[in-house]
Amino acid sequence: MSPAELISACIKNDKSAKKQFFDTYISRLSYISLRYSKNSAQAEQVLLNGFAHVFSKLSQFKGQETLTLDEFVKKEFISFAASYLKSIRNEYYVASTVKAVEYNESSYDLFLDSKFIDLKNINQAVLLKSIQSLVPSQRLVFNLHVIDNYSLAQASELLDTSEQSIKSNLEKARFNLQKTIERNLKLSNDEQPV
Amino acid sequence: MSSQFSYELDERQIRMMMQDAEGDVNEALWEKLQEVAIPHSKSFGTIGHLIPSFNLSISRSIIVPVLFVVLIGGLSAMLFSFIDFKKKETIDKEIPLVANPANFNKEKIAKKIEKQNDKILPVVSKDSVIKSEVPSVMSKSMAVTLPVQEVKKEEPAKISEVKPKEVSLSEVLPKKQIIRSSEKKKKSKKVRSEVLPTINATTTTNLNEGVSEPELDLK
Repeated sequence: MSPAELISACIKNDKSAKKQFFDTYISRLSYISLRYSKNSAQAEQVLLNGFAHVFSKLSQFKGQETLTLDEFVKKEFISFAASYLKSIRNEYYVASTVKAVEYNESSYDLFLDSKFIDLKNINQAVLLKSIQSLVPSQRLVFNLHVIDNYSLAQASELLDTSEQSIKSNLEKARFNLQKTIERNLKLSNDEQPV
Repeated sequence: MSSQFSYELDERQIRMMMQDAEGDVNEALWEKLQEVAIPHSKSFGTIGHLIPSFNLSISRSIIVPVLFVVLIGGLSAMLFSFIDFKKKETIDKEIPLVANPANFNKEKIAKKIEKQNDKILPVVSKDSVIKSEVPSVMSKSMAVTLPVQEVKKEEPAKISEVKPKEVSLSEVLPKKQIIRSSEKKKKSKKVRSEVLPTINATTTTNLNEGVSEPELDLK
């Protein structure tokens, strides 16, 4: 079935076409929802509602000429995920005020068993865990700008905030992410048997 | 964030790693999705796609002031509907007083006055005559004290026989009081103050006049 036929069948509420559409995009969209959410439970909510949103928006794809179906689905899913996470106001606004605590360099111990951390080769699971531990506003900006290649203007338009706040959130996200990755890598190294 | 912080993450690598990543597929999700998607399919599947959806991209900064203006305008229009300016004009008009000529007929007025006078005439009774005599008797004996007058009112027949007595102050008041009042008058006369002889400059005499002072012997 060609993409055009698949879409028209989905619009007509054909169950088999919908199932085919679901099977095609479930694995990709589930990972997107995982990195946009704080945990797997929230990711499932985002995924289900995001899929329903994409199904409802499929009729708009007919007029699209610039985007492919994959790009259209991804774009719609991401825009829904961003608005969904922003709608959880108590999480989005309250948790954004929390700052990461930096290690105090004055308490550096020369004889402490320090291991070299290679930030160039990070494990995917560690990276995903670190991204999930970011506060929602920082996580959203990092995902949009760094991973999904949204410009700062596009991100600010999508999140309905100023470009300046997007920039500051991105800076904080970068700092916090690196610190969290370092911490997580240290923990994973400590857990490994000698 | 400290100034010593150096960002070492390779964002390109992260992008490549995360963009193409795929998650685990759970078959139970399809059933869950059907439960979630049913309301969407009901609203959009049958009628939703037939009706053209209007997506007006008007920013919040325009919608909010417009709504605010509409709200204020509506409220002011509602308040103006309560106020009726036409009614106020009718109230302000003064109704001119026109004299009724029927009220100024002299003959009728005179008759009316006569009738009213006839109605007002007092009915004279026996008691009232007796009472009216009392002041005539009393006019002669006004010098008498009040208690006597009260008695006369109760028994008007006897009062006519009583002769008025002339009472002098000396009979009524005791003698001592009269004397005291005369003494007080005498005492109240001004007492002339004694004028002391003043010493004038012309009359003063020099006490040292004619007396020679003894000279001191300075040896």
